[in-house]
Amino acid sequence: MHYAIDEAPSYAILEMNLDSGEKIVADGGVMTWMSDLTATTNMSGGIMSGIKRAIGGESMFLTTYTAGSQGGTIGMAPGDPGMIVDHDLAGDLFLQKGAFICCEEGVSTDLKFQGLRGFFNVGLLSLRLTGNGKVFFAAYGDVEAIDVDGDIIVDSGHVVAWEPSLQYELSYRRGVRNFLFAEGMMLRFHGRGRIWVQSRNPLALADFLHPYRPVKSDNN
Amino acid sequence: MNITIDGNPDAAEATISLAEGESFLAESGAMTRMSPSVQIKPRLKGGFLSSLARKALGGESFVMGEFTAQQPGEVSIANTTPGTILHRRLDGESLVVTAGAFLACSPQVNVSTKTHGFRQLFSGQGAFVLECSGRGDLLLASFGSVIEKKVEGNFTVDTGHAVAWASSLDYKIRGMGNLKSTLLSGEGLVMDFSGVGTVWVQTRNLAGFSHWLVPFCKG
Amino acid sequence: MEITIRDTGLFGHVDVTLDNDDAFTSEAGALFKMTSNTMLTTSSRKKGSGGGIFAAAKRMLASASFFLTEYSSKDGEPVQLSLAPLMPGDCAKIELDDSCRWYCTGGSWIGCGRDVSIDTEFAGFKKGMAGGEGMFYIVCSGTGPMIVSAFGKIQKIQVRGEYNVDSGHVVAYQDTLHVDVGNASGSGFGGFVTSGLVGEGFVMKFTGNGTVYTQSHSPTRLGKTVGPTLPERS
Repeated sequence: MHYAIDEAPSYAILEMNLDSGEKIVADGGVMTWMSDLTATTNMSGGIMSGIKRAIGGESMFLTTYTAGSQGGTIGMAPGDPGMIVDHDLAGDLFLQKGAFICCEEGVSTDLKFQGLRGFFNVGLLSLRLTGNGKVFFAAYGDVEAIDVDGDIIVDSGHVVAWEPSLQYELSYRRGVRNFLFAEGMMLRFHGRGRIWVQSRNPLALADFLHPYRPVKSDNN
Repeated sequence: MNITIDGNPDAAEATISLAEGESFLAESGAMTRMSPSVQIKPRLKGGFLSSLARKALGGESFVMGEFTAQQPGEVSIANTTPGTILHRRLDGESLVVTAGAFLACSPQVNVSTKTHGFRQLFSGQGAFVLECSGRGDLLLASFGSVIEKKVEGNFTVDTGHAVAWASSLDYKIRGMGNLKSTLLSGEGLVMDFSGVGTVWVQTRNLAGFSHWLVPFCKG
Repeated sequence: MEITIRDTGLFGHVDVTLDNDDAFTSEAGALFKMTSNTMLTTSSRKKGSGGGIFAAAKRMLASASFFLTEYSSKDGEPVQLSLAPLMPGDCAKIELDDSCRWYCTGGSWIGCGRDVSIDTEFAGFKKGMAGGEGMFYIVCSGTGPMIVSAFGKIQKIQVRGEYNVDSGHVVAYQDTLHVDVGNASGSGFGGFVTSGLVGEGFVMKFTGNGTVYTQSHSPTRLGKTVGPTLPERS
């Protein structure tokens, strides 16, 4: 497998060349172009119905791409503009759910709500990746990998991924751009481990777009 | 007419300098800033007048603005989504362009619609592609960067990521057999290109962007 | 105090380092990362001027208040924080020198140093145009740095005479310029041309001498395109 992350950091695209018979497991919607690959889709893990309930109806579609006899090529991109990170996983990683792009077959994915219970069940809806192999994930905006040794405070909407060796708790509720469904939660991460911070906030964008959404016609 | 493009590939804006009396056509709503000596009029560009055309586009006509300089002046234009603006100087060849990717052209360029009979194709831009031909300047705009792919044999592109392609290429549209495609109209449809020619592909698209936003939307 | 604009393609942001006696104020939602010794003091301003905002403004704005956070050090040690705009795009620093006031559109203003004063203003458009839609401005004066942001790329335009900018593309301008609001389709050609048909928004017509900062992309235009594709809201 060879890969390159092009058009970084604004509109990063992961271009991958797979050798004959090689596979990559990707989120269902990331394929932009491909040649000489076959695709099969399934729902993640077999824990589908429980997860659907826990996270309000969302579940993960994973597509496995397998290269043909001459090898194959695929370009993969997330829905949001921003950077793609490649990470050599050896153990566990928590990943913001919308960030997952693809991984090698040896990595398993488990959708889990990493909530801060007691604060209206808000928190980080994350994917736990476990295993050994390459993992690729996307950030909304540019991304900075910070090796924490002590503490740092980060807005919850700006956290892309973090290592389980880091603990976190609510630090502040800061002021917000408007009061629609604002989060404004600043989380204090402490311990030793790596956290990936993105420079834009999808929750703030969704808040901005709220008035432009169609209005429900039936309010019963 | 002189065209300069600033901001490629991140957030491009094209500035067109017009001599007195010169004009160009741009997608409605594209103007960002301009000299006061330039006047804008609405124009329906070639072949969009049929009610069928209007219906397929969701009730909207393909209205363009015709920008004419009463005295020498400048007009800057940009796309709705940030990305790249490509400037193609057509010299007799023809190019197929997805409706959402068309930004502007000089008046001598011929723009006509081709339909597929599919709804919700091309990132919700509708079932239209445009065939652009003639001699003149054509400005295309993308969401994200644009990558040129030379097709020699076969090449598959997600429909939402196709910007433009040489009219010499053949293609078929099919579903990926993806569960998701049954839930999200337009997603999971791909174009299988065959033949020899160039395809321009964008690295982001509106349907993917909208789908990514859904879990963050409340209320 | 050190202010560094990080220019990384589409996604600029601002890193601020404050010493013991420095202070910096930002739009409350801009903060995304900070050291744990940062002290936050929140305040608010009304989005209207003088005697409150009129009905049209109340309909248009998600909230009638605008929230500010002032940053300083809790423990006397330097504080590091990072601010980001809402939209993908550039950040730019404008150094104020007390010679004029700067009008910044509501979504573009990020923050400023302690010797810059912050006012708000709601400027309603002319009656009869789209039901009196208006714009919320943050008006800054004094001396020191002010940070603005753009959707897309920022352009700095020196106006000498006349220049028109689509209302969705204005970031900030000096009050040495006179501003009129007009219809993009221009000056009375038979009266059959309306903005709605062409799709152009309203145009801010600048006259005089001064600087205007513009952005390549319009958040409103993106909202109108993407919004209808999102789930229904109540």
